[in-house]
Amino acid sequence: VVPGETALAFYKAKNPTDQPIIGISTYNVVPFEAGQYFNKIQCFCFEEQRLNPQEEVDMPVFFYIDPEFAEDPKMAKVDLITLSYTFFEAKEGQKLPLPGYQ
Amino acid sequence: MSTAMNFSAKSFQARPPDKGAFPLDHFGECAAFKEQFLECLRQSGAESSACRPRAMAYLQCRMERRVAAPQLMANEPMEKLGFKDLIDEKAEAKPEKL
Repeated sequence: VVPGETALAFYKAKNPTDQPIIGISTYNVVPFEAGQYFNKIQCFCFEEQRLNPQEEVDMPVFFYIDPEFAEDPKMAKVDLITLSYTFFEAKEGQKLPLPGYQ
Repeated sequence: MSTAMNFSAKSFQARPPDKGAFPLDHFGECAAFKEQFLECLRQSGAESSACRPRAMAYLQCRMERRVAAPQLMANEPMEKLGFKDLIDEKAEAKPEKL
């Protein structure tokens, strides 16, 4: 991935149960300092998504790395950025915890 | 995962996406485009730059789907999604075709 260039990535989610599940996802970026350069244009996160029994769906993320990343001396040794998503089952009135230190 | 006991570090600030969330493609309407894109990534050794035309095709597929469900992606000119150079190439190629 080139900083400044938009890129597409896919995740896949499956509901292995016999009940529909409503999930909501949040994301995390490591290394931590790279997270500030990670810009999501569109993704599947933060909104409730319903998965029917046994349903499997593709979940796209359209993003770019801020070109300033290439100028940041602290990022000079970073050549791998990992984006991960965690799916929670949505419950009434649930507040999503921010990933990070708890 | 970082385990540094760094008391002055801010915790990770998750930010919402610029253009909101993608509706799920429950019926796999754009699955073929996705497969082509992933095939390109496999062949190029995960070179994102090499596969941008197919990424653009996938997003265009999402924008065009209106049949069974609401649009899978709001219309947005491709230039605004970082594909301006690919559009310019297309525009240049056309006059050359005789």
